[in-house]
This record gives sequence, structure tokens and C-alpha cells, in this order.
Amino acid sequence: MEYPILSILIVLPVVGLVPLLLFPAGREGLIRIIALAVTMSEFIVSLGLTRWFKPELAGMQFTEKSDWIPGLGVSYAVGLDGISLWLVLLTTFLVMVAVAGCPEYSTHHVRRRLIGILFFEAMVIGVFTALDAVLFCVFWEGALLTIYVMIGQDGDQERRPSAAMIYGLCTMTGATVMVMAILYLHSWYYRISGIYSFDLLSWYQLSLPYSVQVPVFLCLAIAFALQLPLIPFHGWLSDVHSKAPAMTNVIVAAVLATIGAYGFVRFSLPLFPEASLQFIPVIVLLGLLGIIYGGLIALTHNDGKRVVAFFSLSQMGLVMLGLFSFNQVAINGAVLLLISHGLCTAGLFCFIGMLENRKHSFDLSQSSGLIQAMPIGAAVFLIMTMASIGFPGLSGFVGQLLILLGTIESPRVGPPFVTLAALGAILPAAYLLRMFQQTMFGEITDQKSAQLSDLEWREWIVLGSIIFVSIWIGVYPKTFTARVDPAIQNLLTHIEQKKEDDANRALSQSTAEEVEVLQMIEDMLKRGKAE
Amino acid sequence: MIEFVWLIPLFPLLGVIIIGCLGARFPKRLIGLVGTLTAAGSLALSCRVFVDVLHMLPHERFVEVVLWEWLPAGTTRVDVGFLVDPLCLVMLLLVCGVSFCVHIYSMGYTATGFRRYILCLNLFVFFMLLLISSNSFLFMLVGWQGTSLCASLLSAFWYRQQAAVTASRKAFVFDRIGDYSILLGILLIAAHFGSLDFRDVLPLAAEKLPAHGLAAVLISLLLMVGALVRSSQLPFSLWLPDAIQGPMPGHALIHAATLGASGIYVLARCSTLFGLAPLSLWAIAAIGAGTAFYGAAVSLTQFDIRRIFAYATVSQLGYMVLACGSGAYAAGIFHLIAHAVFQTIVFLACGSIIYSLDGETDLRNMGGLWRRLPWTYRMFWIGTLSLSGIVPFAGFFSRDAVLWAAFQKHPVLWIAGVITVFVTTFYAFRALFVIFHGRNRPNDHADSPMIEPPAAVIALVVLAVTSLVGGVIGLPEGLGASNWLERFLMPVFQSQASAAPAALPGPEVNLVAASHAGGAGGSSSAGLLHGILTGISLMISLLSLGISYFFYRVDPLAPVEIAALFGRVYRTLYHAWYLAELSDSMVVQPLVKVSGWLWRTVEMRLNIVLFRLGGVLIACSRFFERIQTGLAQHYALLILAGIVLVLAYYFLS
Amino acid sequence: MTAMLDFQWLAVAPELILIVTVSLVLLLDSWWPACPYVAGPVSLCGLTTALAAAVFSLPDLMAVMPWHGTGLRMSAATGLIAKITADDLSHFFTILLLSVGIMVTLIMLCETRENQDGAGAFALVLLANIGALVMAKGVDLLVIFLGWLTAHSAVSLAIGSRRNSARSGTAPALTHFLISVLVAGFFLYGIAFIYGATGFTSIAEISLELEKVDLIRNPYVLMGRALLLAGLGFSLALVPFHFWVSDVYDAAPTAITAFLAVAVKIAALAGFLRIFCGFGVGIDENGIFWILAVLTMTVGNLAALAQTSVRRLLAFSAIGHTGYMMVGIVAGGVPGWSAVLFYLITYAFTYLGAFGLVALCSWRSRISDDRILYTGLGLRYPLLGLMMALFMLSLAGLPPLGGFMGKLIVLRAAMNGGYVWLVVIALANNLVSLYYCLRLIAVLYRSGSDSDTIVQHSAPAASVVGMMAAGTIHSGICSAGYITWACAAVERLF
Repeated sequence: MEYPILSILIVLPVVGLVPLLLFPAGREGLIRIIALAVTMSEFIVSLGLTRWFKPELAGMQFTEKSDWIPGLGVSYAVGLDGISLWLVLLTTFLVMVAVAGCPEYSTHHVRRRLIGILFFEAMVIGVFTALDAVLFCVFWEGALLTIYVMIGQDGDQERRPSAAMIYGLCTMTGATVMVMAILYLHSWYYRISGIYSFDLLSWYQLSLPYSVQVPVFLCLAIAFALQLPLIPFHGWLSDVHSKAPAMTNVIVAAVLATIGAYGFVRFSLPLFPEASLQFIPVIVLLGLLGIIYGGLIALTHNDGKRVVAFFSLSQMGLVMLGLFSFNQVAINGAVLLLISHGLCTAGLFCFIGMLENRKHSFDLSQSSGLIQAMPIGAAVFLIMTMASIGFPGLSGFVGQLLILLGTIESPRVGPPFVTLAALGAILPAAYLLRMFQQTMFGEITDQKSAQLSDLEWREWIVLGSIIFVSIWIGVYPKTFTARVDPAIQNLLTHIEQKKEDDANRALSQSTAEEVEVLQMIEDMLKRGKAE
Repeated sequence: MIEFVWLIPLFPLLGVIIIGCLGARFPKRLIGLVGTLTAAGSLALSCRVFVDVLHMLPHERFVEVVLWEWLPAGTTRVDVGFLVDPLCLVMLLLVCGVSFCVHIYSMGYTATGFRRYILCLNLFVFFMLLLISSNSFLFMLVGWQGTSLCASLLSAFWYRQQAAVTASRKAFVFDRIGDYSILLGILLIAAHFGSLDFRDVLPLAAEKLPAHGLAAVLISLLLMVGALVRSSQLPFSLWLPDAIQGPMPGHALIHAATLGASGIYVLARCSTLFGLAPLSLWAIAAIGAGTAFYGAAVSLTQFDIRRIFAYATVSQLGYMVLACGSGAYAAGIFHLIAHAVFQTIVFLACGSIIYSLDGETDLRNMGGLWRRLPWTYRMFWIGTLSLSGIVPFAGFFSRDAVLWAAFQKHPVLWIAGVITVFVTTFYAFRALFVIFHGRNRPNDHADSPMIEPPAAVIALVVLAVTSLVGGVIGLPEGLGASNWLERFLMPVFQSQASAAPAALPGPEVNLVAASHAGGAGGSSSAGLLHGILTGISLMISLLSLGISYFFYRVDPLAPVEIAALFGRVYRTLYHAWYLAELSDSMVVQPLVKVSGWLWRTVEMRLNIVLFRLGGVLIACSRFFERIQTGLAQHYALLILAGIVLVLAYYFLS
Repeated sequence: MTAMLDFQWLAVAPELILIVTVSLVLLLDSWWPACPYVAGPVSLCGLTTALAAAVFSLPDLMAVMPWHGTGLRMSAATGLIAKITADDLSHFFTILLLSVGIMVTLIMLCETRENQDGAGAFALVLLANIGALVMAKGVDLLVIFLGWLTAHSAVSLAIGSRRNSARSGTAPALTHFLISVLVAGFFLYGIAFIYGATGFTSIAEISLELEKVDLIRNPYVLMGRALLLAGLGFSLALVPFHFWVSDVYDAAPTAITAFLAVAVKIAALAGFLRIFCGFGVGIDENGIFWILAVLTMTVGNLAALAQTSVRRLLAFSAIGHTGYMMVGIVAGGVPGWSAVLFYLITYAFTYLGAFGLVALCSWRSRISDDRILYTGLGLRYPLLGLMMALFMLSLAGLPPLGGFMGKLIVLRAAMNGGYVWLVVIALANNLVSLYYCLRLIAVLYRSGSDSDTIVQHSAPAASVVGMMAAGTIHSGICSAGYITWACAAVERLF
């Protein structure tokens, strides 16, 4: 493809939010339609990606590269491989869904929020496609900042500042640490190759000494773990989710987590193979901890949004397990689970948002018997729940199972881990089903929920599309894995390659040191003669 | 036709889609019709496939139909595929037949939310058919979880009753526990065999896994737990009796006929794996015998007729598990079929009774219904006779086969089984006598709309006839007859039989071998023994029939006195051995506590570090501000200090 | 007289123009004392012409200018030659300073309506500007000192020029004046010490002397260095010398504050560059610079953390930014110094914009604690709020704004220089600054404020804000051009 399709994807939403700025407040209907049109066209363009994407190629495709700050080796370089392809599609799809399901009840916020979402979309697509570290940083912080502003703007009044501020601090800490790591890598690249460059692909060729890998790996790991979130970096999670409006939740839960995991795939694994291998136990343990911890808390919690948040926490634990088992199947499953997690949380939060539209809280202890008021809604919600708890034939199952299958085969993560991780595939059944039954079944308690209106066609289409994709993944995942596989293959071979290189380098280094020592001795002798 | 086997599960799905998408405006009759038609369709197709298979040679009767690759799990390839073999066929026929009858019956009776009910039923049938016709462990899991979902949905059918909702959730969660264990088993299989296809795993089990090896034991135990949870064996036998809170016909299909049976199916399917681990076989046998007795004993004391027959189901499932544990999988399947038929009859009959009494389920408020429900009365007789294993009903032959297998495994198991026979007959007839001949007349519901509509009667009759003549498929070989079912299923368990000698040490070996080798040398003596045992069990059940007649027709006060006599035992039985309370205090409460504790002490305090740090920084900031006195002399001093600092550096460096 | 011949008058053309403008302004004021509307435009014209002169005079200057600059004999007796130069560096600084001066004057235009002595203020700013220019151009310690003195005395007069307002500026002005006199003394002492040790005041010759004779460890030279450092540190607001900052920023008229925060800092950095790089090889000063950088960053940002008043917050974070510049200085060399210059540019954009906004918001309101003043500003005046948020984000160093790029490049230089821990500390500070910037933004958008700020429309200040916002974004996204300019400016020195 000659067209700079990725740049189009990045720029389109930003262009699209100009008219939103121009229209006066009070034309919310129009504004929403425009935003929907923009996101839809964005989604269609991203579908074009799948059309022209060459599944057999492992490397980057649709690459564009042009100098930004030549003196520093900063360049505008974007590209796409099988992994980021689906994440980009997921983003465009979910943003479209979120905009289509944009709640009515906050018309005074709707414009600001839509602007925020469009900007966020651009930033996230940038993150997924950036091949230059500085560019990645720019998009990354842009995305986080947008989320911070969105939470701060239309979050719940009384908790707003603290929730937003905690989120801002946590994620900005991550971003700062990331800048640190990137600068460090940059200087190391200069030290080794003598070239100023922030180009990721050339960084991949760099083989760092282990002592350098560890700190940088840790920095980046913290930065990404804060987004996933990985336990114990999830301090912001439940507050933000329980206070923010549902549409923001869709974005935060579905897309931010994906960014975090993507960071691991794009940076940590290929750049620091030894460090990653070294830290497998830590990461995996944290993941398992997240699985069990989130599950246990969610078992009895009554705030529906928080329950979903904890669900997402445990899912991310599973994803990390898959990523760090360094096994083709498992990483494949991790990517699938990322997509499915995005879909499921988006669906659940959309539904919760639709309840909020009807001025109805989603407190498990208060709402019950909704099925009588909204049977269709209940059915849809049931399917969402099932997809989330990994019901076979829906999206969740495939990812979880591939992860488990791959993990048990990988020598680096043993069966004991898998035994615990399988809980992550089972526990959600307990609390998500509880959530479903407590809200849908039982006697209707209050008058308000008796008069709830069932889903209207717009909401029905929104959720239906999510369900459709989820079933597709569950029944015929090959569509997705076929394009992901080569990329993962590439990644793994690259890691093996670098491990060998480092082994060789270690040898050569020792010889080099000997040479240096000899040199020094000679110099000393010469000086002695001179004096 | 075999390549179209995938159509069999497709029919019910079709029904689901039609009713689900368009059925909102359908009249009730049309909905019922669609359901029945789809059931009939899959029944007809499975019969056709059955005939096709019959024309093949016994050892060729394994046909795999693969639609597309499902999970691209690297080397372990998982397909959306079906495996047609004798076992699968028998189950297909059973499930389709029962679902057909139940559909017909349901057309007679209507409940509120009939559409929901039919949807649930069809979805269940769809998943059940997937479960029994799938060709790999993973694809089986689809049906496995689907069935449990539908079952729990049906239990929560009357979603306003909190009890029903809780029970349904309980059932679902219990099944997840089973899933967990099965999932681990599957993972282990994948790790050891590099494949999950039945055709790759089961025949090769003997080569790939060392017998008595840890792997074999682990895998079989994990699978066993899953299967036992599903067929509600001890100690997981809580969920099934509670789950029966929905419309009875649905439960007849799901809980009585097929759901628990799917556990037995898995046991039979993985026979080869169990053959490699005698340990788990012993465990299975023991648990089966125990549960058989447990269910019967508890059922003895219940008053809610739904619970009575729920526990009856549990105990019958116990028989099947016992059979599988003793290595006689054919007998297990045989009893499965027989039990499915008569239990369905009983459940459907109960349905009629409950409907006719406007939802009254308490035994104590029933009596003398035989005049008002003549057909139900007769069918109930047949069902009960078959349940308590009286000649010549199918139940007799199947249970006899089970007991014989148990005896070969170990006499103690047989004794437990025979005791259970006594209790079974007793409670079965207790229920019958009280319901239909009890003295206390319930207030007359002459106005109640549904007294035995023709559709219901037809369904019942069909089932009854089946139960009457069904025994012929499994006439015991020991008594010189030809056990068609066992010979038909033999190819499936063949490899197990070959693995058995390696597995089972001691005297059982030749016994089991004999039982499988049919009329071999030692069989004449075995046949004699078999006959004697059969006679004993028959005598015992007749005896207990008599006793229960005496208790409940002649001297109604006797049971009360006895209950009073053994008060504690009675209470224990009545509360189902306090299993529910036990599990609640042992498992549920601790989990709830832990969850609350985590939330309060960990999650709520996560950000405290952040806040503390912020506090410190703010304090520093305040300090720096306080230095700003605004007085020139202070500033001058500080500047001097700075200069001194710099100088110090310069001179010291 | 012979010295007169080879003196390039063209090199001081901007200063001359400004001097003319000052006298013009004062004359006009004495003719029409009542009317403040003349002084502003006149001084604007003066500044712009000076700017034009500076831009166009460059090429032929470069042609004739000797590398060590041109001089003007001061007195036959001592043989002192006051030397100024016109290389790329001074050119860079001249343009920067003059544009800053223009901006400051524009901001002032919106303030002087209430301050009656408008003309005086304008004149003072012009004078200070001249001083700054001289500082930037001087290659002779005495010349630098002269510029320094001019600038500071003018400024500390201007600080007090704000009368009938809530915050009376007289006390801080007095403090500032006293301190600057003291520091001036130190400065002069330093020059004297070095002169005594080497016999020269011209930097080039001093460095030659230092290399020739081994004077490096000479106590007098060391004393001199320390005192000079103190002098420049005072106007840079390095940490031990920074105490005047917050009071003065809080009290002074906004325009003057802007001038102090930007122009003076630029000039001081120019002097710093000339002196401490001009002395060339000597003792390794990076250690002390390292310490000063860490102190300045940390104290500045931490102190800003708890501030409720926006002016004080800006004051302290300005100190913090000086710290970042010091990081670049520690890195040293072309990468380091070019990074510092680029950082200066982005800093100038951001701060002028921020102060323009402060002027816009607060020139009419009598509210002393302007935290209230800004509460919900973004909801009442979306555009203003957006601008403020923009500048705050740039201060906090968030992409894709100038602040981010500046920090990135400075830190990169430090990192490549191997000062890892310095970078770590700088980033930690950045986090702190992020906190208070984000908090201020939250305040901007907090609804339900009871304050009734009437933001009068003032075209000049608004235009400043607009231009600076554009500059902030532009310097972030298209930073390549600025960086090359900065590199070109410092290349000659190393």
C-alpha cells in the first residue's frame, strides 16, 4: 500500500474533533452524530488494514518513516505487525461502540467527553503503531493525560479529585519512569553503535549487557504494569472504575489494559530477553496473585463496576502468565484474551452505562429482578457474562485455554503455576454469575426498576455487534491467530537469537578485556622508559 | 448419512434461533410444535445414522467428521469435529428419544414463560448432543459447560423465588469446580499426548502412560472428580436435589435423564485411562456404592416428592458409577439407559401430580389421587416397578448387571448394592402408596386446568412401553442370553479390556476377564453364581415392597414410631447428612470472610503509601516556604552560606 | 583613538537604538505626563527596530568581527578594554532578549492603565533590556558586570513601581535592591580577585593566562570563580541565592515579573556561558554545578508543591526550571549547552504565556489569593482555561509541548554524558511538578466557584498569550529548527 494509511488512522480522529470544537454547546445531537461518523469511518479505514495486511509476512507492514529531529535521531516512524493489527482494530471498534453507546444523561458533558475520546483514539493508535521510542512516549503520555482529564472532568463529583489524581499520579509515574528507561537505552545505543537513534527496530538489534537490562526492564515493567494493572500497581483501578461514567470505563478497562500488555510485547520481551527470562517467576507470581486476589474480592463485592474492574484485574494476570511463558500458543492466547477481555469489559460496562442512562444504579445489593422489566437486556447481559467467564464457544474461552495449553507445555512455567492459573478460568463464574443473578433475578424491590424500559435499537445494535465479534472469536479464532502467529514466531526466534548472541559476546568480551590489560601493561612499561 | 451427523445437534440450535429471534409473537402451540419438530428431526437423523452404523463391521464403527479447525494450539490441534461410535450412538438415541417425549409432554402442559422454557430445553439438548458426539476432550467441554448452564437456568426458571436462584447458582458453581478438575486433566493429557482427540489419546493411552504411573493416576483422578461432580456423587451430591425447583418436565429431561448421565458418559468414554489407574477405579467404585446407599437412605425420609425422586436419581447414578468403577462400563451404560427411561416416567408423572395440585409438592398433603389421575397412576406404577427393579422391567436387568459387576469387583460392594436395593424399593413404593392411596384427601382441585392432557399421556405411554421391553437389549450373558448392548459397545471398551489385566491385580483379573470374554471356560460357574445373586436381590426388593405395603397401607403409624425410635438417625438422614451445613461452614463462610478481609484491609489501604509520601513532600514544601522570611539580612546570610559552600567545594576538590 | 577605529559600532546598534528610545519615552512623558498611551507604542517601535537591526546587521558583522570580539578603550591609564562580541551566540541572545522585551512590553500595555507612572515603567524595562543585551554580548568581565548592574538596578526600581494595588511592591523591591547591591559587591570582588591574579578582565585573555601560568589552584582565582558564580546565581535564582524570588514575583507588576523570570535569566545564562566556558580548562566545576542543579530543582519544585497562589507557584517552579537548565550545563559541551539554549526558548514561550495570562486575569481583580481567582476559570472562559492548562502541561513537561522536548533533550544530554543519577533526580522532580500542575488544572475546571473574575479583553496581552501558546506547541512539535539554531549558536565556543 502506498497510502500512508497508518498516519491517516492517527490523524483522522484529530481532524474529526475540529467540527466538534466549532459547534456551539446545545447541539449535542449533531455533535454525537459527527463523532459517530468519524469513529465509524476510522473503523472502516482500519478494516482496510486487514484487507491489505499480508498474513504471511512476519515483520512490520505499512511502515512510514521520516525524520523528526534528525540531530537526535528522533524520527516519525510507524508500522504494524500481526499483534498490533488486531489491537488497532479492537481500539477503533471499541471507540466506535463507546461513542455509539454514549449515555444521554450527561448532555452537558457529552461534547467534552467525545472530544476526549476522539483524541484518545488517535493517541492509542499512535501507541500501537509507533516504531520510535520518543514517538511512543509522546502518544503514550498523550493517551494517559486524556484519560486523566476525562476522569477528572465527568467523574463522580465527590470522589472526583482523589480518584482522578491518584490515577494521574500512578500513570504519570509510570510515564516518567518510561522516559528514564528510554533515555538510558538511547545513551546505551549511542555508546555501543555510536549513532544517535530512538528507532525501535534498530534497538532490537542491540544486545545489552545483563546488568543494563535489569534496571531498564524494571522501569519499563513498572510503567506498563501500572496500566494493565498488575497487582500491586492497581491502586487506582477500582476507585476510577466505580466513580467514572460507564463510557469512560469502557475506554479505560478495555483499551488501557491493552496498551499495558502491548508495551510488554513491544519493548520488554524483544529488548531484554535475559532480564525477561530472569523475571518470569516474579511476573507470573504477580499475575497469579492478581487472578486469585481479584477473584476473591469480587466474590462478595456489591458495586457492579468494581466487580468488573476486579474481573479485568484477574484477566490481566492471566494475560501476563501467557506472555511470560515464552510459548507460541500461550502468547497467541494472551493476544486473543486481550481482545476478548476488551470486548467483554466493554460490553459489561456498556450495559451498566445503559442502566445508568435509565437513572438506575448498578449496586448488586439494591437492584434485583430487572429481567422482568428488560428481558432482552437480561439475555444480552447473560451472553456478555458468559463470554467473560470463558464459556466455550464465546471469546473468553479460547484465549484462556490457549494460554493454559501453552503454559503447561512451556518449560519455564511449571504445572503448579498452571494449576493456580486455571482458577482464573473458573473463579469468574462464581462472581460474575452472582452479579447477573442478583441484578436480574429475584423480586423487583423498588418501583423505579419496575418501570425500566428495555433496550432500544441503538443499544441493541451496540451490544449485538460486540456479541457478534465475541462469538466469532469463540467459534473461528483462526481468523485472528492466522495473522498473529507469524509475528509471535518472529518474536520468539528473535529472543532465541539474541540469547545466543549474548552468549557469544560474553566470550568475546572476556578476550577483549585481556587485550586491554596487556595494553595497559605495555603503556606502563613505556612510561617507565620515558622517565 | 454419517457425514451429516453434525446436523443432529444443529436441529435444536435451529429451534433456539427460531424461537429466540421470532418467537416473541408466536402462540404457545406453535412454539411447542417447533420444539417438538426439531427434537423429532434430530431423533430421526440419529436413527438413520444408527442404522448406517449397524451395517458396518464392529471394528470399523468409528467415524470422525471434522468440520473445521477450532483452536490453533500449535501441535495440539483441536477441531470442531464429531466422533460417531457405538457409545456415542447409544447416547444420541437416548437423548433424542427422551427429549422428543418430553417435548411432546410439554406441549400438553403450559407454564408461564413457556417460550423461555422451550428455549432452555432446546439449548440444553443442543449442548448435550455436542457433548456426547464431540471428537475431542476440549470440544466435549463445550457441551459440558453448556449443559450445566442450561440446567442452572432451568433451576432458576421461577426466578422470583430466592431459593431457586440460589440453588441454580450453587449448581453452576459446583459444576465449575468439576470443570476446574476436568480442565486440569485435559491440560495434563495435552501435555502427555500432544493431542486431545479421542482417537489419538484413548487407544494409545496404554503405550503413552505407564500403568500405575503418577501421570495416569493424576489424569484419571482429575477426570473422575469432574465426572463425579457432574453426576452428583458424594461428597458433591448437594446440588442436584436442590436444583430441582423448576418445571418438572424440564427436570425430567435434564436432571433425571441426561445431565447426571453425562458424567457416566465421560467415565465410560475415558475407560482406557481409568484402566491404567486401578486406584482411581477403586475410588470410583467405593464412591458409587456409598452414594447409591446415601441417596436411597436420604430419599427415604424426604417429604417433598421432588426431593424424593431427586435423591432417587442420585442413588441410581451411584449404581452407574459403581458399575463403571468395577470396570463393567457396558453395564453402567445399560443402567443409564434404563434409569433414564423410568426416571423420566416418574418425573413426568410427578409433574402431572404437582400440576394437578396447583404446585403442591409435599407428600403429606397428597393422597388418593389414583382416581383423579388414572393414567398417571398406571404409568407411575410401571416407573416405580422398574425403579425398584422388579422383573421384567428394564430396571431389573440393568441393576442386576451392575450388581454382578460389583460382586466381581468386590463382594462388599455387592452387599452395599443389595442393601440399597432394599431401601430403594421401600421409598419408591412409600411414595407411590402415599400419593395415590394415602388416606388424607387434599382439597379438591377439580377446577385446576390441566388434568392429563392427551399429549402428556402419549408421552408417558411411549416411555412406559420402552421401559417394559427395554430390558431385552441387555439380557445378561451369564444366564445364557446374548447381551446385545455389551457386544455393541465392546469395541469402545476393547482397549480397556486389554489394559485391564495389566491394571487389576489379584483374583478380580480373571473374573473381569471372564465377564468380558463372555462364555469362556469359567463362565458356567460364574453363570450359576450370577443366577443366585440375582435371585437374592430380587427377593430382597420384593420383601421390601411388602414391608412398605404394610407400613403405608396397613399400619400408617409404624413409620412415625420408627422415626421417633431412631430420632437422631432420622434427623441426620432428613438433613441429608448435614452435608449442606458442612460445606457452608467449611468452604463458603471462610471464603466470604477472606474476601471481606481482603477488601477492608488490603484494597482500601493500597494508596496509603501514596498519601503518606505526599504528606511528607507537602511538609517539606511548607518548610521551604517558612524560610522565606522576607528579611534582607536573612537572605544575605544565606547567600553568604552559599558562597562558603562553593568555596569549600573549590578548595576541597 | 586608535581603539576607536576598529570598534564596530554596528555591533551595538540595538543598544544604541534602545537608548534613543528610552530618552524619547522620557521626553514624551514629560511633555504629556497624563497620557500613558504613548510610551508603550514608542518603546514597542524602539524594540522592534532594534530587533530588525540585530537581525539584518548580522552577516556583515560576522564578516568583520574578530573571534575575540571588539573593544572600546575605557581609560588610557589602566589599559582596560571593554570588549563585546557579536558572534552567533550573542546574536542568538540578542534576538531572544529583544523578542522577550517586546512581549513584556505588550503585557505591560494591559497593566499600565491603572499604574499611572506607565512611562517610567516602560523606560525601566527598556533600560533593563539594554543591560541584558550588554550582558549577553560582553566578553569582558567588566562589561558583563556593567550589563548586570544596569539590568538589576532598573528591575528593582520597576518592581516597586506598582502603587495603588492590593499587594504593595515596595518592601520586596527594597529587599531585592539591597540584596542586588550586596551581590553586585560580590561580583565586583570576584572580578577584582581574578584581575589581581591574572592581570586581565577579558575572558579570552584570562583563559590564556590561566593555561599559561599554572594559576588554576590559585586561591584568588578560586575566590573569584566562587563570587562570580554567586553573582550570576543570584540572577539565575540558583538555590542558595534564590530567596528573593517568590516575594518579588508575588509583589511585582506581572510584566516585570515576566521580565525577571525570562529576560534576566537569559542574560544571566549568557554570562554564565561566556565566563565558565570561557575560562575553559581549569578545575572540574561539574561537581558543584551538579550539587547546585540538584538543590535548585528539588527545592524549587518541592516549595511549589504547597503553594496556593499561582504567582508564587510559578515563581518556585521557575526556580525548578533553572535547576533543569543546570542539568544541561552539567552535561556541558555542544549537546549540553545547545540543550540549555533550546530549553531557554521553550521556557521563554511557556513563562511569557503564563504571565500574560496572569496579567489578563488579575490586572483588575483585587483578590489577593488568586487560587480563588482561578477556580473554575476554565468553565467560565474555556479558551483562557485551555491556554492555562496548556502552559501548565508544558511546565510539567508533557508531550507534545515545548516543555517536554526541552526536558527530553536536556536529560538526553545528561544521560549521554553519563550523569544517570542526575537524570533520575530530575525526573523525580518532574513528577512533583506534574503533581502541582495537574492540581492547578483540576482547580481550573472545578465547578461551583463563588469568585466573579471579570477578565477584561486586552488585545496586546491576549495576543502575547496566543503567540506564546502557538510557540509552545510549535517548539514541541517542530523542535528540529530551534535545536539546529541553538547548536549553531554554541558551536564556536567548543
